[in-house]
Amino acid sequence: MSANPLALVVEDSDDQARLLRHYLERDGFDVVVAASAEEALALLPRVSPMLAIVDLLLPGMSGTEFAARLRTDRPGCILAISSVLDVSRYPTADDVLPKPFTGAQLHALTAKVPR
Amino acid sequence: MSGPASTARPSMQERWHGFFDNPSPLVKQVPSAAALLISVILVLVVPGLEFRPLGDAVGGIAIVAAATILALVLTVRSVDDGWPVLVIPMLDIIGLGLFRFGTGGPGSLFAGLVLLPVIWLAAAPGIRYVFLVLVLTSFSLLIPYIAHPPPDATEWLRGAVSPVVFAMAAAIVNELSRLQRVRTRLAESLATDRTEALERNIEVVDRLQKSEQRYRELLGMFQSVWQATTGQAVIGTDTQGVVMAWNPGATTLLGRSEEEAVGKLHVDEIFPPSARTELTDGAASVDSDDTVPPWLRALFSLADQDVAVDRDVHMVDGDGRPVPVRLTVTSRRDGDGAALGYLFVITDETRTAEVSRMKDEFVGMISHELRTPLSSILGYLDLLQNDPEHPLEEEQLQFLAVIERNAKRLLRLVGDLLFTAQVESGKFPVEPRDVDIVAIVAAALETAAPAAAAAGVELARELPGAPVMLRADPVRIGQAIDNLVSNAVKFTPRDGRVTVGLETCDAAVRITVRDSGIGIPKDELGELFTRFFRASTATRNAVPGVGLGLTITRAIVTAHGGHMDVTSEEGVGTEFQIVLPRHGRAVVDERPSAAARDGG
Repeated sequence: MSANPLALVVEDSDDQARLLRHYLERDGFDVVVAASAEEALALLPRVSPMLAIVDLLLPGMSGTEFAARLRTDRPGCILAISSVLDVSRYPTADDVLPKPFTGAQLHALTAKVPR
Repeated sequence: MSGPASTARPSMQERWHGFFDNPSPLVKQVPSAAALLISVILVLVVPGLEFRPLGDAVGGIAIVAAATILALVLTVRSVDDGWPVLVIPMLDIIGLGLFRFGTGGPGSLFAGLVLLPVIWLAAAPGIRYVFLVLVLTSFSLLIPYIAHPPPDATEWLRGAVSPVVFAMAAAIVNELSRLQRVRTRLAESLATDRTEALERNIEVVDRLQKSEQRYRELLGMFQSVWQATTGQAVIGTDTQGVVMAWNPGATTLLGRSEEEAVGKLHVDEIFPPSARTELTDGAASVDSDDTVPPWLRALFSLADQDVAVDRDVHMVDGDGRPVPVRLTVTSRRDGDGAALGYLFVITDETRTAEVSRMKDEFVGMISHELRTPLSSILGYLDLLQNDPEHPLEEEQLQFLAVIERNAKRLLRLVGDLLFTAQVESGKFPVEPRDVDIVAIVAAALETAAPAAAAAGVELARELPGAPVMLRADPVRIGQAIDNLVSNAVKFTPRDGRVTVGLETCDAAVRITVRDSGIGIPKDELGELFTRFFRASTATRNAVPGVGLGLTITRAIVTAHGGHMDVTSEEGVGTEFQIVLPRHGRAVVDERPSAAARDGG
């Protein structure tokens, strides 16, 4: 069992998912990626993420709906929304990571996760 | 139409007048002359009658003949009135007086002939002619007695009495003819009055016919327009809001027929409760006796003040479906400006809303599809540039910077397009809070500093030392000021100067961005805020851009209740001003009532 904190990335774009994984792993996270909200919900009973980065425009269930479920189910998990949409349309979350984000912005976010 | 009739009537009148009032002197003379002629013939033919003395009789005949010639002359010369005409009967009286004397004096068979000119003379207007008759008859009947004195006193008396009798007859005739003249005048004036009244009636009838025709034309036109207006509901009400007019468009939109609505429906009833809430402006005078609900009364009073009431609201159609509509309310007045009621025009905006929604979706989708790959490009660029494990060479970093700059430009363009679309559909988010506008302007200057340094443009600031607080969305206002400053830098040649200033007064803050740039031609200033418009000086100088910046800037300023001004001189420079209200929105609105309304 790894001592690294777990980060959940819900992102349908492979490119973005890979970028996030790269930065997160560099910052010492274990990363699990779900390409849809449904996939993430299926994963949730088996994992305990410290940080979740959720895209809003997803196939099937929307990121907004998933974010709401996550906040209820895992109140301890830091939730960050990352989307191309205008920040004003983001659901309530702990942090925002508007796309395109920089490595520095993501690093600032991971720094908030307690170790 | 009145032409021929009015010319025919006077000619009839003239003949009528001529026949009764103005017989020619010759016609009037005919009875005396004819009577005298018959008398002469009788004397010559009937045995026992004779001229004695002959001289007087011949003299009398000569005078009457002279009078007849005078009558002929006057008739030929068309002299029908005046003293020359009256000379004829005077001559007749003297002539016939002599003839009477020449045929036997007072006992003459022809003594009565004198009566004919006496009547003529007496008929002339004025009592003086009665005395003239007395004088003339006395003269003509008594003069012969001087030459041939009568044998006895009875004859003298007869000579004296006759003029008096003639004068009395003359008086009666004079009075009768005066009465006749009065009656004639009366009849004439009555006839004239009647004629005039008739003419006036004809004119009035004519005018009425014309206006009725015009009215029918207008009514026909109005009815066809009214019937043809099916795309919009047009509803007329009285001052209390009771429906008075209901067009086919109203039937289509609201599902009630004209018969069901007119006179029976209150306009309040066509609005669902949700629409009433949408239309309630808040502050409405509440009068419990008022039959008009407060929300409607508020609209009415706006319409009464000629304020354009133009609202987007949701109605319910005949099938109970919600319909987005545009509602305008105007007051209906008569020719004197007195209130008759109100006109409600309701336009179905379903299609417009649908088109707008589709456009929004399309723009949203496009901008998403563009932003997603751009996000990846920029994300991996950042990764390449800032990967401590794999540092790049200087030249590689320079190339990446070029890629990054262009990718960011594309990203900005996508953002601007999306924002413009939001502005157009009237829904871009503004989140005002209390902010220090000086700090926002200073931040915009910081942002523009690298670009200004690279372009060799001096950035000058004229900002107050202390913070200036107002309510605004800092991101949006920052974006607006950024746009102006970066524009100013972009349009200013090397060694030029861009000055950013901020002034405050009680009600407003004025932010000024002045450059010594290429300027904008005067005739293009009006189009400056139009989407995709680019000044000719911009295209000529190959300054990059698509023409969205100012559209967006103004939309942001307008959304904050402010306004923008621009002055420019080609080759000298341009100055943009943003005026923002300090206390809430619409303080800059120049209507005094607006300030009062929003101040409270």
